Amino acid sequence: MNEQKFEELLPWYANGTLEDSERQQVESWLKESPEARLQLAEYEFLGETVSEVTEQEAVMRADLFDDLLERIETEEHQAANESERQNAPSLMETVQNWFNETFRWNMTPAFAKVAVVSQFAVVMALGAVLIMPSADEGYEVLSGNNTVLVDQGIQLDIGVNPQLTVGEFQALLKTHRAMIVSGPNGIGVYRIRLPQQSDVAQVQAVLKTNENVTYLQRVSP
Amino acid sequence: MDVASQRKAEEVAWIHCVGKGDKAALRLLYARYSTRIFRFVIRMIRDEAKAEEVVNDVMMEVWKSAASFEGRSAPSTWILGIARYRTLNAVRGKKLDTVGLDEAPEAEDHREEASRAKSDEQLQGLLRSALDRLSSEHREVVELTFFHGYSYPEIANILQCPENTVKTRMFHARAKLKPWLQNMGLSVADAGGVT
Repeated sequence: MNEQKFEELLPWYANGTLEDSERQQVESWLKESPEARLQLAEYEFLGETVSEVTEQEAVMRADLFDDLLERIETEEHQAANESERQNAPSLMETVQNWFNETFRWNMTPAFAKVAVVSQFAVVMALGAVLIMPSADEGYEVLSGNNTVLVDQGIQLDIGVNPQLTVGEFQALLKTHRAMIVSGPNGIGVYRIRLPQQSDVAQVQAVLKTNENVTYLQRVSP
Repeated sequence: MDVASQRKAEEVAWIHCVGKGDKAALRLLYARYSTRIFRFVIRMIRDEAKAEEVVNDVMMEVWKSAASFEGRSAPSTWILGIARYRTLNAVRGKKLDTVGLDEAPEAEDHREEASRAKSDEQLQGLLRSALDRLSSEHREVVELTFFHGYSYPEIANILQCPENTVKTRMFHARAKLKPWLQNMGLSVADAGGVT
């Protein structure tokens, strides 16, 4: 090993970390060379300066470990939540598991599965229709959707030709400003109400001449 | 078994416990290394808050990676290696309080200043200022050698570079610090030479 190599090893001779063989070689060189000893003294001075912590140097906070523990716990908590979320079965899996456990679904033949699913779908669709609110609030009457305040008018029972369309029947009622109170009953008779001020006799006469009116009878007050 | 080997075996055992989620073992490792890490980082970046942040980043990585620690290097080398990597990451957006290798001031520029120093204490103060002006590559080799007491193969391991690079960096660091070292009041005669 030449002199330059020994020089390179001097810092680690100074800090005491050289292996035995290298240390012995450097020591032999130091014995022979005053210049080498001066270099060693310089490294020792450098080591002394570097290893000293001065008062001006910052000191680490004492409670820093608590911050670390808090950080670890937060990350563990987040990881646990994430893992729980990933392991939780989806809605589809939950339904499938329920089917498997309840009906031994995985052992059911394919055609039976199709039949059960179809029936289930029909039941669900009907349920939905029943549950869904009607587009029109209240009920529909043949005299129309307009809300009419019912007064204490004269009531008539009227039967009409079964071939009469709803529109024709509504037109007939509107002619006399009448509205349906109830019906049709089992034999197709409607109870209608005329306004209080109507001329009942005249209305009855007109209705009787109408070929589509098959039955007409005033209801006793 | 010597003290160093006992210490190493103890730390390896702690790391294995940490790998199994033992926070008490982490506390022991923290007690032994946090100040060393802090000292290493603060001398590189001169930012107290950042240095504390890096200490906890390093120990967090130790906590997470302990289970995969295979003991191919000594625990201290492993931990300081993480510290150095984290320090470099931390300063990526912040300019280091050092100069680049090529921009390091020439020693001669401060020869006069060094020659005016009367005592070792004054000289040490000037030497510290000169150390601050070293490039980060030179300074970390000096710090790891003289503050942390690592051997050159260990430093090569921490810095992930060849051993010869470590020696060369130390050689250049000494060259930069020569005016202060030469004026420490020693002569060849003091060092045991023939006058």
